[in-house]
Amino acid sequence: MVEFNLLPWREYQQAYQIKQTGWWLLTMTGGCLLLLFLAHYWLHQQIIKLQMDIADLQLQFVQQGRKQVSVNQDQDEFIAHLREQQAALMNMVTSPLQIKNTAFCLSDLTSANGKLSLRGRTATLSLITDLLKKYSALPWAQNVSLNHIQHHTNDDNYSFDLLVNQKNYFGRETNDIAKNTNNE
Amino acid sequence: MPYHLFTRPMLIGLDIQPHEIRWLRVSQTRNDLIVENFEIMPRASILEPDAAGYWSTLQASLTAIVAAHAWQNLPVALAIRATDVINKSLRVKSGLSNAEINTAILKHIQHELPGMDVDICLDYALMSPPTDTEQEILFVATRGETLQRYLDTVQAAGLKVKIVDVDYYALLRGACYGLRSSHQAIGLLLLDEVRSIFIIAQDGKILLAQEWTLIDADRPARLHQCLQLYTANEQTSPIEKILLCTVAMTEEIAVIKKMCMVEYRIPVEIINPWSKLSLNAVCSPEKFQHYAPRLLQCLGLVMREVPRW
Repeated sequence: MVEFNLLPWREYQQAYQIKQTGWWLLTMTGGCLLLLFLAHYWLHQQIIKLQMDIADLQLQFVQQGRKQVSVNQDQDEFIAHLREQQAALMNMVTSPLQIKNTAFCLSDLTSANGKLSLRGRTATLSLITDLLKKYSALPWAQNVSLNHIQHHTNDDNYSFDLLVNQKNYFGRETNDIAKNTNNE
Repeated sequence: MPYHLFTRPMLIGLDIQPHEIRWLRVSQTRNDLIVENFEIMPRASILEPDAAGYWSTLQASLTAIVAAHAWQNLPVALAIRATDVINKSLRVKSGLSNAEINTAILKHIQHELPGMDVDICLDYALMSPPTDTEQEILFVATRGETLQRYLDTVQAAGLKVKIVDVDYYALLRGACYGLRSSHQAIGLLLLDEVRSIFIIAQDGKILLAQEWTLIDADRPARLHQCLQLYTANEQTSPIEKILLCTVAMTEEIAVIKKMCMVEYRIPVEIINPWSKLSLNAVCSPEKFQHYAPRLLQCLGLVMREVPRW
């Protein structure tokens, strides 16, 4: 059926369609902007969360590092102490050997509680005297005493028992330091 | 205008006659139209549009109706009289734009009515599928002044005019509501208490239209003249049938039926488009049955789809 409308409906319709298109574009643009804003907000929140996680991890890492440094320092101290002990022991062992023109045989060498005990044999008494002098002259020896001396007639030599008090005693035993390190 | 989210807004069909104002409101379900309300209000004085005071009294009547039913800003469809309209076919070049077709129509009007120097309001419909070179259009045109008077009056009453149709096209549309469409020429004879209208149309195009009042008492004779006039033209298509819409079966109807069948071999079919509509509970069926033939133009108007603009 033919339909007429004497109003300028084609112009009205065109204007309406332009208006509708404009509204649609505006709505779509608004929607897109809203989506972009929401995406931006979400990503921003994610970044903040990740940054906080990273900061926490960094803090934990720093704390662990500090603990590690502390342990390392203790270990270094312990190693240095061991080395000092070792050097001292070596010094104690080698010191008598560095005494020139002496001929003696050490049968026992004991270091405990800052005291060095030496037992051995020598051919003459003068050699024991020299040994006493030499130990007394050592920088770490505080007091040198001859506890025992005996003449063996069958092989014509002398056995002796010498005790040297050490000056620079480290104050604590190696086991104590190791215990402290493990506790930390 | 109220915003309709789930329901389709419907137009108010407004039929302004010199002696009365008719209006109809319907609602639409999925398949059917339901008559929600209707009224035919006699006017205080019967005036022609050219008479002094016609438009002011019309506006006063419409304002009273709008106020009574709270119709402020509702969309309305109205029809102007076919006597105020030029209705013609025209062949134009294929593929013309809207502005070019308007220009072609205005040129044609100037050619038909030389010296006519007034604002013209027009509309057209493409009638047949365009050929490579030509396109047939059917156009209606009226004086801008005539149209503007209707618009000013109805809009001043508080309604929003969305459609201005031509009364015979609205009548034809209303009468053919629910009928199977046909490409043959059909006649529509509308007989009510006030006037009689005979229209011959083919494919929605009105080929002949005649109107006479009750003063012309011999309606079969007037119909006979119309049919003679139509059949005298050899180029016209034969009339398939005449659709008769009337309020009561009288002896006159029997005469008309017999004349059509015997003299012109055209079958006459009594139609009642209202039978395909439901009636709202608030409407009185007796009153509606009495008024229905006079509301046919309103039905043709409310059948139009509400423009979105």
